[in-house]
Amino acid sequence: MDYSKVELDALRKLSYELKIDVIKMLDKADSGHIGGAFSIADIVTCLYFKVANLDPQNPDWDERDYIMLSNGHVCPILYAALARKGFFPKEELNNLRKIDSLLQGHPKLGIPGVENTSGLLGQGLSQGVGIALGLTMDSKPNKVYVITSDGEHQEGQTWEAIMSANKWSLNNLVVIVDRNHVQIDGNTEDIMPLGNLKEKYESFGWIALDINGHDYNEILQTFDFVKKIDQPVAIIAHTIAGEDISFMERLYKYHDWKDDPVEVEKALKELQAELDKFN
Amino acid sequence: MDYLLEKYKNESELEKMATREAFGVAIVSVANENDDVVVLNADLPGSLKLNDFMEVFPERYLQIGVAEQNMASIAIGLSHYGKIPFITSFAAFSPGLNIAQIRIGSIKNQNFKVVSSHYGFHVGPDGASAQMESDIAMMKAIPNMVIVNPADYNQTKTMTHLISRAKGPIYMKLTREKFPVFLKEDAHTEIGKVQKLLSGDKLTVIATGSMVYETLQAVLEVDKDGGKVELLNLHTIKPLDKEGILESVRKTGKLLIVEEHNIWGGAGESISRIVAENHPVFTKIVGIYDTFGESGSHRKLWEKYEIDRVAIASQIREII
Ligand SMILES: Cc1ncc(C[n+]2csc(CCOP(=O)(O)OP(=O)(O)O)c2C)c(N)n1
Repeated sequence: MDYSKVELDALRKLSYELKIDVIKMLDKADSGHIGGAFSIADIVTCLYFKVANLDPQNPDWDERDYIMLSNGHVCPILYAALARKGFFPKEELNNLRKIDSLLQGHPKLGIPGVENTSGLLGQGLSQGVGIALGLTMDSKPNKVYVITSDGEHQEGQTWEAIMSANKWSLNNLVVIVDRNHVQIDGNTEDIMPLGNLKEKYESFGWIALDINGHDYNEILQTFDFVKKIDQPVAIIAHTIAGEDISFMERLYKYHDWKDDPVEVEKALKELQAELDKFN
Repeated sequence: MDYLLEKYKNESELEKMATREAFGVAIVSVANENDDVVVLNADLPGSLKLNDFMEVFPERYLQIGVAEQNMASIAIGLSHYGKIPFITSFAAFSPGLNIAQIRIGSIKNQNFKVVSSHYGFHVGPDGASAQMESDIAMMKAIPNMVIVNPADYNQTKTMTHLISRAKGPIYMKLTREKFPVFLKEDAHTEIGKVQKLLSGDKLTVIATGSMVYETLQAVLEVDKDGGKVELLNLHTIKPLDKEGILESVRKTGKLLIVEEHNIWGGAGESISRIVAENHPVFTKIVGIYDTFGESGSHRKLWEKYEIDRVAIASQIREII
């Protein structure tokens, strides 16, 4: 089923608003990770505002789906989404990375809506396997969505987790890989080649799908499809690092960002122009 | 025992440098001296200041990707073959994530070096997970492991040379933040020996790494005329300089240890053991009081968690 333009546009518009929040947050924080935050922004928007079953008033609700961010450094986009969804007041975004504040530089259990403590790459998928196993033992229908980066597929533990999800045929586990091809010091294929992740997941017994991680219709249809699959599913989301900011796109040097007033202004202007197209 | 630069008291006149910058410079000259030296890194070469090394010795630079366990075991293989590998990352990831691999390489005293930056609260805004309050505890409990924690830029350059020549597994800790350069470039440094920076007869203060200059300022503030507080620079945490430490506490009869590490498992506990076994005196440790950090600048974190010069000075005042 194709989604209506109205529905898709509402989500797209929201993603620009979240990105504007992120630029403002990082400007106030003086630094933070942006490349991956923007490559995964469209999927984060779909998950939080369309796909997952969540109750911001009751973050520990038993019936909720679990959204986990294994590549925790891209948390500015997560925090922007959680705030907009109502998990905590939007004012908290102003204190990102500051002492005595709620929003830590990497997600930590205890922040409303956060399901895993991260910051060390490669551990989130195993934690997701743990939650998925618990749900399976208790025959519960909740889904577990684990967002991962391509860079953390260089950690051996990621592959240990992939193997174990297959062993227990965890049909409640969905992995999204932000395949943006960049990491800190360069392009992934130069640093440590990852190759064809779809084929690798398949050879580990998973159903794997290559999708365009910026196409809302494709993203939503994929999430609909995976709900019907009786196996662990990997969505390899082909994305663009720094998506929507002309001077950042695809460049690994924007993995993280020391805010610069000129760049902040330019980025905000470009996002506002996109937003204005909806009015 | 002439270690301090002449103007060491005047912080504003001292150059500020991070010790990781010294490592970046020194590793190039170490590699020039010894063809067997190779450097491994896990997607953080800029943070370890390896840019010069990568340019001068591209064939001796191995980028492993985000894979610290693989990095450590590859290094152990290289060392078995005859190379001298340096594995480099943040302390939270190495040894934080590859302690078991490092331990295996230490069983036969293999010749590899673990060089890690951003220890203690040094990652600042990135928050608790990438900070590192427990690395000394992990590493000191591994038999054969040597741990060095140089106090400034100049000492780190010297130490990089020393560890490349010493055989066996050695862990060297580096700071991210810039601190005053206050030790002489040619000061005599020997692995396993404390350096007496100030002499005194009422209290021995032992500080290590990032805490040495901070403690020095605290001492200058409290002991204005000098002569009361003896300050030792503990650039080697393991093995401990038993004689050097005991000689000082025999004279002063009181001991304060300052470190940017959890008080559980840090250098302080090991020093306390040596003192308790040989010449028990009143002892106190200033360190991270069994808590994780949080996001914030490292200065603000030092203040909040009471390991800054104000907190150190008030401890010294209380004791003497
Ligand atoms: C275990 C571990 N090692 C190293 C790091 C440091 N680090 C933070 S982000 C990053 C790059 C990872 O690549 P990726 O997540 O693909 O980057 P992005 O797409 O966000 O640019 C690294 C090495 C870490 N957080 N955890």
